[in-house]
Amino acid sequence: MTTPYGAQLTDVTVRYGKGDPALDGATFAIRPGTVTGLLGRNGAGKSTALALLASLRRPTSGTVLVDGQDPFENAVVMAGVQLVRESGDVLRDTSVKETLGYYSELRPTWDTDLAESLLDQFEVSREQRPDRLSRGKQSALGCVIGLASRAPLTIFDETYLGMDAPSRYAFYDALLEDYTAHPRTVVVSSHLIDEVERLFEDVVVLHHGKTLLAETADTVRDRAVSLVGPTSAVTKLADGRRTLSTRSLGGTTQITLEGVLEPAELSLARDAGVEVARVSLQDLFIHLTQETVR
Amino acid sequence: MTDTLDAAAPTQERRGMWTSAYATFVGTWQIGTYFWIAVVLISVGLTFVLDRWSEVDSSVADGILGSAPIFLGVMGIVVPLAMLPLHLAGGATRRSFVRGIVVAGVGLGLTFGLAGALGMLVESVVLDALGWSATAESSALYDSSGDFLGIWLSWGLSSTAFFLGGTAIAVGYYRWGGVRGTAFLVPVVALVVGGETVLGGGVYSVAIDAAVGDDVVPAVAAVLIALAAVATLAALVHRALRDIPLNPSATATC
Repeated sequence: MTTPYGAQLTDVTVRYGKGDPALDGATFAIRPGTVTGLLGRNGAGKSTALALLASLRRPTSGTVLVDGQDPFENAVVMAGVQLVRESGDVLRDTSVKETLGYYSELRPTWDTDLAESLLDQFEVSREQRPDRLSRGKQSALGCVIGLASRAPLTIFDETYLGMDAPSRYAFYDALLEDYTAHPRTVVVSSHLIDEVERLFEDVVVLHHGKTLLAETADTVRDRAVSLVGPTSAVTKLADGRRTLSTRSLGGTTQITLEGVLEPAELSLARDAGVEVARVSLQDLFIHLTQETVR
Repeated sequence: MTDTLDAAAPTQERRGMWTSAYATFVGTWQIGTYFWIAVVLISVGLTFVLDRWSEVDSSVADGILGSAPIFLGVMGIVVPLAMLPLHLAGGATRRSFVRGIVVAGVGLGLTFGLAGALGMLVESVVLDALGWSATAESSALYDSSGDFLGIWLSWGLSSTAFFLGGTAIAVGYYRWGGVRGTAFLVPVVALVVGGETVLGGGVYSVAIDAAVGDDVVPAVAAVLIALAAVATLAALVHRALRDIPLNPSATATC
């Protein structure tokens, strides 16, 4: 049994060449023992932030701590961090079992039985070369590596995008099951927010290299509320409040408002035939990142 | 905290070093087997051709089996760079990777040198039995295909230097790009060619021998210079790899 790792990025900047920085003073924490969603639009700096946690590079400036220590070339800390990248860090021209053998030799926490069982579940051939697997099977191999590593900090960076929907949901279930049985810290970066948000306990949103928010998932969801009903009633309830989006069809309007409704407002809404619902993380993410587009 | 992870730093470093060393050594030998099959067949075939159309008046295998260092140079370019992302993603350090590559390079040099020396020994026995000459051209450590230890040492040192040189060149270009990578290449190539030349191998040795004669560098000095070149190449590999950043996952292959 291993203790989950926490992580902290403080005022971290990373530059590649002379362009805009990939990370620009980003600061956020990953709580140990949680599943954290790292969200952001393309080029927001997600992969760079995750590469720092896995010691694949150093920051240009700022501080990165994993389990309270600088992870770069720290043998013990690095042994407890598994980053699974979309590009797939595998031996491409030898069999899948050679790659898994390499990981099992390196990782003190590797679970061979789990790896074997997941390979069967995702129907990934052990004898096949990774570069000859379909995109979906390559993604599944990445998921197998991440789960079987049992690393105290396990990171999935857009790993499962190539998988079909049933395989992705099988992965989510396997992740939750293993996370429950073997608590660790998991970070998931994904564009499929609707699918994975049920996993998240914490959420970090990056935008143009900066931290837009870093909160618990429930706090994030409480940032907005959705009202659907007769246009006049909805408009009246929204009066004086910040509106994030409005959609109308005939006499019905859907408005997303910032913040939550007070009990009295909820009662008014109910009486007026207005349906009140939480906003999905994906909708909120879109609102948050759209309004700050440069 | 980390005390619950069964991985003290020295243990993890050793684990990383031996894993990368083993994978590099075995992976290179898996491909190297085909190399040896090919060069043995070529040596045998060329001997038959020379006997049929000309005459065999010196070692034929010397120039063919002796290409092992060049093969290892190519493998040095390809194999370590392919393994580096996997090694780091697997939670091991660059430090352990460098050590593993150096250990693998020495192991590959010694075993490829041994395989070549054994091949030359077989040729020597065959040529002697047929009454043909088994002399080899231009080397500081051997002058016939039957000089087993001299060939092993000479080819072992060259092979190690070529493998580490190939690694340094590949990592240099990966890390620093075209201009600085080429600048880094210059001392690497100088060390590889220099070591090869003092040992009496390569095209430069033939030219030097023609100009100034054989045995300009005593055998012991040649070995020491070649050892120094190998050690310097290992240091250059370490310099290029010790804090190398991995490129972002730009290619979406899964």
